[in-house]
Amino acid sequence: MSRIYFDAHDRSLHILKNILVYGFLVTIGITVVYPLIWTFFGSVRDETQFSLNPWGLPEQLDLRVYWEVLVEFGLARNIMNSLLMSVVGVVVILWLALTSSYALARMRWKGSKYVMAFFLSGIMIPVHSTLIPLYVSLRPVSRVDERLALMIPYIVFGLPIAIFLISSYMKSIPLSLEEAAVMEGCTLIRSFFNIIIPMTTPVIATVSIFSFMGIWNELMFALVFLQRSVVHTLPLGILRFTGLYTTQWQPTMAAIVIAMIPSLILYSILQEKIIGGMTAGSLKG
Amino acid sequence: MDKMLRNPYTIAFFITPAFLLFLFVIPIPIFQTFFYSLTSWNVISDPTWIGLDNYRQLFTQDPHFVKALINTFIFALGSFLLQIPFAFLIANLLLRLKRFTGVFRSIFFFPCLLSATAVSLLWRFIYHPNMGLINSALNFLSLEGLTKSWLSNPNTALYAVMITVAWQWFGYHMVIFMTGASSIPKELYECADLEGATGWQSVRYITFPLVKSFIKISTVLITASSIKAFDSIYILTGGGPNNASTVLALQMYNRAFKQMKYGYGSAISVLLMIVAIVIVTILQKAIKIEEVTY
Amino acid sequence: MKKGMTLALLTAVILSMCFPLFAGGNTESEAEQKKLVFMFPYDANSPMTLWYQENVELYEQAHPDVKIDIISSSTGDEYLTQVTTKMASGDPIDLMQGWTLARMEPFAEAGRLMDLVPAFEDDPEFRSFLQDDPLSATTFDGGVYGIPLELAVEAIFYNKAIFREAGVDVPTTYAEFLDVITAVRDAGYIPIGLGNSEPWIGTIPYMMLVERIGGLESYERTVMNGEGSWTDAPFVEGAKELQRWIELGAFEPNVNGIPAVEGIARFNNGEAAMFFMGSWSMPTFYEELGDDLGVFNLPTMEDGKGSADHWLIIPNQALSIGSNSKHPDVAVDFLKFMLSPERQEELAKSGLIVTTKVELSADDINPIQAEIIESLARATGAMYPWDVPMGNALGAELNNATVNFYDGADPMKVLADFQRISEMER
Repeated sequence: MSRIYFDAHDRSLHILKNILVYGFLVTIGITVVYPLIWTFFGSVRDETQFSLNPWGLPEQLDLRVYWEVLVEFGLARNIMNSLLMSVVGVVVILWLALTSSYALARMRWKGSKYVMAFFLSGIMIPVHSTLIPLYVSLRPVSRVDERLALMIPYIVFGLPIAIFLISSYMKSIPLSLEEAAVMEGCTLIRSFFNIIIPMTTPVIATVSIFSFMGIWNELMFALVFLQRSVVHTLPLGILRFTGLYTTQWQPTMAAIVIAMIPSLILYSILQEKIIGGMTAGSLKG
Repeated sequence: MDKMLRNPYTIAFFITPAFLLFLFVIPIPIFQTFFYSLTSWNVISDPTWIGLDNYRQLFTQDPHFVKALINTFIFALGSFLLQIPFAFLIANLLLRLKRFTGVFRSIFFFPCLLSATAVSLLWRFIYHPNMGLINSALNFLSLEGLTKSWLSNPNTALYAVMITVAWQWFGYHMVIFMTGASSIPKELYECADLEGATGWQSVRYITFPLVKSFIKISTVLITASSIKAFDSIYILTGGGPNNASTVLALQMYNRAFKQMKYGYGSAISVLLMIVAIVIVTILQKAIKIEEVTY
Repeated sequence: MKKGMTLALLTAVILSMCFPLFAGGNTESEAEQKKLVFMFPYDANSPMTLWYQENVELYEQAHPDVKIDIISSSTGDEYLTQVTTKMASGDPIDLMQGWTLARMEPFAEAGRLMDLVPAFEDDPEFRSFLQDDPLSATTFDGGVYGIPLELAVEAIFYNKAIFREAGVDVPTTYAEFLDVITAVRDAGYIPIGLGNSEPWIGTIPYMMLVERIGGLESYERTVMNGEGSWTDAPFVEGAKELQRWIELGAFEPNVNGIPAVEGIARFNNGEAAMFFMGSWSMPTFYEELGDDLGVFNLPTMEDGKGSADHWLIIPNQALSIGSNSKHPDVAVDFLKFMLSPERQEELAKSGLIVTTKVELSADDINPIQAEIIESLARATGAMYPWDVPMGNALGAELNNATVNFYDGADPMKVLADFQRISEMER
């Protein structure tokens, strides 16, 4: 978008606006980033130093704590468990959400509104209150593998938001594309795969991130369902550093930093798709 | 095409798996919760039927319940006011930027990727009355009078938690809005520009109507999550001091899991769900949402 | 794109089928092995966790036909959730560490724990090795449902070096105690360290004060029997005395907002002179302060009915056997192993005050531990810290109520409110 400046006043106003906007955004950025940097510093600083002056800079970069945390405290295995569950969870949620959203957004049938409301009501549920009934009813699955049993609530809890986002997005895709495909002899299912799914890439990326995070950071259900320590997930691993009366700050902070990394990586990968979606928007219609 | 869209077999293929899975996991425990709310149960013995006694006690005798109810409303509506307009503003600013959009977006989004536990532990330090970042900064600026014990002062505790949660989540809503806005073709904006619309007019007449459905989503999400908000409050204040910052979710957890009064806790769960529905309905009416397509 | 989706779907299906491979031995040949499930809290900083793990190793070595499955991943409230959920699902628990008094009662009443009286009758020698008093905390209706491992004492730990510097000695009268506060504060130290973000800690001085004023009888009447009221004079006076300490500058400002770990750090770093805490923290204190560590009980008050020989004692960490255990005899045997003189000696050496009649020489334990054990022997009366016999719900309310005293609230109003709540919870 180019602008025509009618005079110098107009232009300096524009520059001022830019400065204000960028300044504002940078300030917000600092409030977001600083606490995170501080956590990283906390993980490499010596504990007594830290309690004397929590806000100071690190004296030296002692990264050994990360090795300790990963190996001695076994956090590496927790990470593998979390990764396994999160990845599988995201794939299944996406599959179920995409298919259901298609049925809800596109197809005409009686009761689609009710089913939609049914799924959305899932967002309202205070999950803690389903904990005990679910644990008891999923016990047979727990005996096979505790993580498999835990996957079921994880998937279901992730569905409402996924369906919400995806179906809204799908509705904004004009029908004309699919109609054209059908006229060329495509079946509905093929048009689903070849047209709809590519066009919903931005929201798929968004939903992937959200679903991944939801599972990656979840604590309460994991605590109850996963009792054998070999299958523990990352949040449970971090919990091990906090005792009843004392907390070992260094390993805890290191673990927090480690926990951030996969989310960060995933987001960096997916955000390309999200950007791609935003510019691709202009190609539609 | 229309016939294909009405084909029952196709519909069944697409919707049934999710539907069945959902049915098994959500409604059944909800019914069980209703049932337990009418009993007195400590989880390790058999439940005893007591009818509506739990509800009676909640409304007439339990001082923490009333406080929790009020706080839940404050927290939900307050979080909405704190996060949604702000996220919308930032989303629009970022979409209009020529450079650094991605950088800012990543930075603002990042906190919601952290676990609420980690964020709460972090902010506990920030709010520390003597060594925390906020009070240190206030002291540095010679504003000692404004320093407070943020998390243990009954007047500020709840709001302190709300700010922490807003810090973590505004980026999430911002991304939702940006995703929604991405489905608006650029031509619309270009047209408006040529016709001389200012930035804000574009937002008001193009962006806002077309992302209304996404705003609706965010509203529902934020309401539901604030009502369920548990992790942050639990770690930051534990509901304290002396239940000043308690909310329904916390009361439910305490009663059901800490005090082994699962029946009583279930009653609170039921009321929590009702509150959620009420608040969402209010908010939706207030925004008067219709789906807008072009 | 279609290929991509199919691939993703296939991957997910295959991955989920691989779960059992990652399970790491969920299914084992149970042919001749007797499997015991043992639940206990995991606390990286507690010597008990290590001791338990050692117990399991040693026992398995001595009994190759027994395999003990440990479930230990949380502590505190999360542990309670784990235990109750497991019980609700009906899975057998052979041995577990649990709680005492009102916190154990629901488990005993629900029939989830095995009565140990028959085991005692079968083995009098074993029974005679256990002290009598602690067992009363796990006895309900004549049955003994667990054996407490720890006899914890809540007392005043102090830093001898700071006392020397301030020119004071261990106070023998209450007036001297108040002088100590002033002297220490004038010397530039924090008289009493406290991080009241965990409200039970701030309740400790309050309980002691009320006892010194009203004696054990006010404790019996109001706390244990529910006959007295919380607005009775000793409770109100006790709060007022506490507030007097605050006026004397005994605590840091904003003590209610200070995290508990920080309060402890103050004491460990030598910034605070005194610390009201349970003896389970004593090993850590000793590690930090060494010979500068001392301990005493709040002195007797002149007009009060209580005494410095009345101690706050709590039998804690009770080992129980699940009533649905599949191998009760093996479970009992393992229990006896953990309560054997050798294992108990190990436990005592880690700094815990044990409930068995272990013989310890002065070299095995640190002097503070010895001092506490000696004081217990001389004690003429005991109270449980109130929140334990009062149960989870009311106990938490009590601790929350005392927080208000530190904020300067009117004691009468706080206690009247609490009285109302205690009537509701009953």
